[in-house]
Amino acid sequence: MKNRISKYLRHLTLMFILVISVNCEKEIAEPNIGTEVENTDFKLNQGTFNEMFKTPMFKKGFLETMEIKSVLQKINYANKTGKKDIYDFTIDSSTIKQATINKITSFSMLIKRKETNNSFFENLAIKIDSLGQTKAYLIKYTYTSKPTYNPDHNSKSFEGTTKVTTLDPKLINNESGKIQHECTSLYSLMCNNDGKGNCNGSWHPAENNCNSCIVLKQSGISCGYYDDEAFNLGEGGTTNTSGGGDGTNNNVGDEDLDQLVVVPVDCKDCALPVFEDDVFDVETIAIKLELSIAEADFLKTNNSLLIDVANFLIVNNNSEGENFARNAIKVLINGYAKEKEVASALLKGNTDLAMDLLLEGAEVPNYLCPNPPCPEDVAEAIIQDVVVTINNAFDGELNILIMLHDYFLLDLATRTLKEGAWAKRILEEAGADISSDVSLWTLGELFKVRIRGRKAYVEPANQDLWDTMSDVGTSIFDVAVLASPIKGGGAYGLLVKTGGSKITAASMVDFLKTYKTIATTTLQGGRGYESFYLLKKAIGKLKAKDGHALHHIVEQNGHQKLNPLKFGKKNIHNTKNIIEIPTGAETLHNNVTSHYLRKFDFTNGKTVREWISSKSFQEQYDYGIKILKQEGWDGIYGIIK
Amino acid sequence: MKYLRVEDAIKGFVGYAKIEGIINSEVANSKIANLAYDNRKKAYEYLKAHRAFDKMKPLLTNDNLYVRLCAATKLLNVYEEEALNVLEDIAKGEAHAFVAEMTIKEWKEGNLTF
Repeated sequence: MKNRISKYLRHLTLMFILVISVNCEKEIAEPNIGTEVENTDFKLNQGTFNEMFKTPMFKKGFLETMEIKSVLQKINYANKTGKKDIYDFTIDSSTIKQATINKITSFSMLIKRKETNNSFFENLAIKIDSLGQTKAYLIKYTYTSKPTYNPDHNSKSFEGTTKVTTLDPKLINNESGKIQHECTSLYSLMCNNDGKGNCNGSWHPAENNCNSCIVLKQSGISCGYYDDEAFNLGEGGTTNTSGGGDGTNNNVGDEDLDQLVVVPVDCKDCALPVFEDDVFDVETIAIKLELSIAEADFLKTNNSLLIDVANFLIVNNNSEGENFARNAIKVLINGYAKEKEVASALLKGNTDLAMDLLLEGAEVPNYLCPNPPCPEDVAEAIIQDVVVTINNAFDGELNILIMLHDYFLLDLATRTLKEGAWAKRILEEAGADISSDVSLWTLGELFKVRIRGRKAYVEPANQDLWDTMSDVGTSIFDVAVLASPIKGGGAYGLLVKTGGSKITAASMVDFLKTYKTIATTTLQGGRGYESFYLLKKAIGKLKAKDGHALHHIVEQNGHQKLNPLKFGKKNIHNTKNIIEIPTGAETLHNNVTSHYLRKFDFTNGKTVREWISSKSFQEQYDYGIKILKQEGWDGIYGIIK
Repeated sequence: MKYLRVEDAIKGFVGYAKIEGIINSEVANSKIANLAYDNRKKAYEYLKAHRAFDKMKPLLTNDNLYVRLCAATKLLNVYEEEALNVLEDIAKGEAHAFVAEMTIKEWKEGNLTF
């Protein structure tokens, strides 16, 4: 009996609701996710690896953990077990979650391995106790059934088991090289906020914006997932813990039992796991998709198609997926040759090929110039949506584009990634240079792709973003640049922070509005234009008067040319931000320009232009005025009326 | 320029600071000014590596205003009071007042690195 209880506890099944976004709109029944623990004295924090590494506690714990990892790897190599190295992993730096309770802090992060296996995900947890002692763990969350996706809640729920392995060189048996199991009582910080401030949504691992909806849940007692025989990434995670353990720590209820409080960090961009029950035969698919006899026969005689459809339905197990598969089969029977190729590619999940086929010969308006410098009179329009006209080969009886539209109706997580991929492709087709560090997920969050007639549109994700972009004078290309960690001029960090560890349309709106407010206050009474060309045209100075130049106080390009993106074009090309001053050798304009190229100690050796780029609009404006006066401007000359 | 002695580095620091000062007030040539800045920085790096701040301290009373300004800036984290006094004096005047003012501002905001 004792063995059975122990076995049960070691294999304790948990139900998690993992939420990709917190936009839960409907209430659902609370799943069984473990026992709630009465303890409200906990704190939660999360950030990127770089952000967390700035905190001494994480830095210390992480470096010590890496030391432990290094020692364990050496022992592993020395024993030449021939087995895969469980310590051979990399950290996903996008999200580190910190939980602090009773002066004990843990940091958890997703780890990735060279060989992926979608049947589980793993976390590295670093615990630092009140004495500053570091202890590291690997936690394995294994799916025991296929996760179900609820688009209303934008959440994935799944049943799974957890296994905790303590990373401690002392637990390695020097003779066998096997790790001995230590039992750990695992607790998880879960949250049920519904995105509207109420604590009645679905349960998911706690996040920064959970506020008072966080609850500490006991997730059971785990005695390690790893033993020499069982651990094999290629075959999938195992919950077999037999053969391990030294018998000293398995006593459930033991007060000395090691305890660990974590916040699970799941893999948001991983494919869903495949289970045996998901496999369909022709009859099952025909019934599921309500196929005609002719369609079922077609499927029966085409084995590779049958496999493609079955696999597609496994991954897209919802009504939209079924609708898409049904249409795809119809197209494959009746469509034009090119339509068939697209349908086949999409069923195989080969979106790149499908995009190639669709965009081959597509027409893109040629007035766009997303990457300056561009000819002034053609490049100044602020493009907030991009249209491509897909070629005539897709005017078939069963319109492939309608099918594509259905394709985007797949579950929200999949749709976001697919929409991001399509948006990127179409924007690039239109001439934009989308930075490779902007993830498809981010593009999918910021933009939507719409099919109307034979035209595909890339638009801002929602009306609020569209309106804000119009208001500030930000183009769809600018938004894509702002989302880049490298090219976004510091915007990325703010966007991720306000978006709750990811960039969302709402965080982009906040960002644009904040800068607009600052800039608009500074420029009160000025008239803003969407381009320098339009401003010059409006004030009747397409050409400045002899010996003069129109000078931007807050630079129009600046370091990395980001000012128009960050502050809005209408604030840069604003009558309050531009003055007409003398230009040429040793004139005011040249002296000021030269100053912006100078290095000083107060700029820490950067050029003024580079140094000032991280300052606010107000600070840049004040500095610009100050340097003009320093160089002899009287504060009146050349002001645009 | 590679320095082998503290005395030479002090000379280099003073010489290049003078060049910067002249360019700041006389000509708008960012290339030459930045070249002088980079060389002065090398001299300072040598002095910093040899903890020769006491040897730099007399520069706070150097005849050349821009030398005083540069020395005060680099000594802010060592002789804060004296260095701030020098910078505040320069900020009250005309020549290089802007640079001194910005230096004080950035120091107070904790943005300066040494």
